[in-house]
Amino acid sequence: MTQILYSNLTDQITSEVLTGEFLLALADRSALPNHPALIQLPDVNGGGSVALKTPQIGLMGYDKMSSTGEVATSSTTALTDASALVTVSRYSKRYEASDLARVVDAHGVLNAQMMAMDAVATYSATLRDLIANLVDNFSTTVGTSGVDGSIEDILDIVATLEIAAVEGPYLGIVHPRQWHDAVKDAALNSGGAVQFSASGQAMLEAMKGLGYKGSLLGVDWFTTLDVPDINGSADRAGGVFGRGALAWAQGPIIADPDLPQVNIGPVLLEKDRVATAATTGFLMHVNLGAGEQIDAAGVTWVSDA
Amino acid sequence: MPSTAFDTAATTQAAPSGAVGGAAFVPGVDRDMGPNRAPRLTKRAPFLYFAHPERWQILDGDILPLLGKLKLQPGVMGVQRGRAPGAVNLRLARVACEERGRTIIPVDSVPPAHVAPGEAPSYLRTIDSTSGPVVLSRYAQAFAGSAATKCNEVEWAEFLRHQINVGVVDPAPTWVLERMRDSRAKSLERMESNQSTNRAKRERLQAEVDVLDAMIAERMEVAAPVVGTSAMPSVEG
Repeated sequence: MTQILYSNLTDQITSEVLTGEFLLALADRSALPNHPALIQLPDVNGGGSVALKTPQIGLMGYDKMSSTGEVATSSTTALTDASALVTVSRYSKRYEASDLARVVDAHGVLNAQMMAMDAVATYSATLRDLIANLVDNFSTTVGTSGVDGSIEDILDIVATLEIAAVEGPYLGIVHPRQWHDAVKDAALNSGGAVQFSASGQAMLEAMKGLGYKGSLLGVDWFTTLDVPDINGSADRAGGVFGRGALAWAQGPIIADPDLPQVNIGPVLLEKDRVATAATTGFLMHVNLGAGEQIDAAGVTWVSDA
Repeated sequence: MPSTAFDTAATTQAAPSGAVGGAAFVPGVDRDMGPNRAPRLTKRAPFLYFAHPERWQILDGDILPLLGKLKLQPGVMGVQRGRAPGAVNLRLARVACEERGRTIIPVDSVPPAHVAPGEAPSYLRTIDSTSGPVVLSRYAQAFAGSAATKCNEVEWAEFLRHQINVGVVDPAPTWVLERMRDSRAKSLERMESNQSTNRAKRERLQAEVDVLDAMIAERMEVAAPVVGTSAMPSVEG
């Protein structure tokens, strides 16, 4: 046989070639919206402590006036107050590549520009994770273990928040499983008032993918995989809350002009060259913290995982 | 070392009688693709469970606490980095929990039957996954090569019941039971008035109402409501 076959050209071909394209590995890359229900506290910089205390004060209509006799002496009213803390801690990430790895890098990913972009996304992901890890702990819960989330659950949550005097707009941070159980319920089980409403239709047609999903029944919805499980992983526990439930803070590190550092928003990105090992490191640092403030300003939504 | 999918020991041992067998050749592989491959779990912070007097649920036909998690992650809910490497300082986090009426469940509060002989009692467990060691609840099951986790529901219910039996968690207050019962009864009513065909949900709700009714009736026998004194408002005209 003198035919020239691909399988015979073993000295002239390689087993694989790079396409020049690359795909990002699957991950939750959504960023929390700048929503009024989320409180960003002032930075800890120069404050003398990593713990920020925010008082809750019972003024502006908290206590009503009492009916009092024409010449009777008014009794004094106690000023109701409480407080909650947010503590800030260091978060870091480090990539380190050898010179050889950087020389053969065919996709241009092992360089400062890509690391700067990664720093922005990483900061958003870290903050999202901190906040999502708080929504499962509110004292008030709605939903049932082992049962899919439903439109009825959402209606109960909104009613509970309103009865607790929580001001809107409300933000829902839930697992995509919970959101899609509710979508399924809207499509298949709920009545026309929800099913055929503009927001109900928008819910069914919402852009697929993690992140902000739109408004439904008075709540702005956000899905993330960072929402914790509960009941030994049997269920998911997202949460819906109004302003006052959760707060976060940060302590940006200011770049030193004498060092190979740069600020990417609040993140400090720096380059670390180890000459003896011929490696170049890229490190990103930020100080972040989040905490519950007023417990009753949020509701945890428990539903089947 | 566990055998892998590439283990050739079986073929070398099966050599004909009289042939030189030699030692089994087990090639080293970077990633175990066999049945012992690691679960694909994402890293997460260890945690302590906590109970709250208003967080309850019906599981396994019983009224059991719906536990929350205090994540041992510096920056979350007052948790700070400790002095020892890898340790966390819970001083502020414990205060925050107490202020909110939460009871932290000690990590070793586990039914003795759930702990293997010689094993340290803990409701947390470390599992080697593709992303390194991951801390999970003892009652969350992970599977080879999978990102999915599943709850060992029987032991989980036993664990929750254990917390009440040993006095770590007080039983649910009666008013909470009544509130749970009312919300389920209303859902049932709505299903009936809407002629819902979801029989499974209806049966589940009815079973839960029955459990709650029984528990409330039991409580009422031992705990009479507080009797106050007659109030006489001052009224003219």
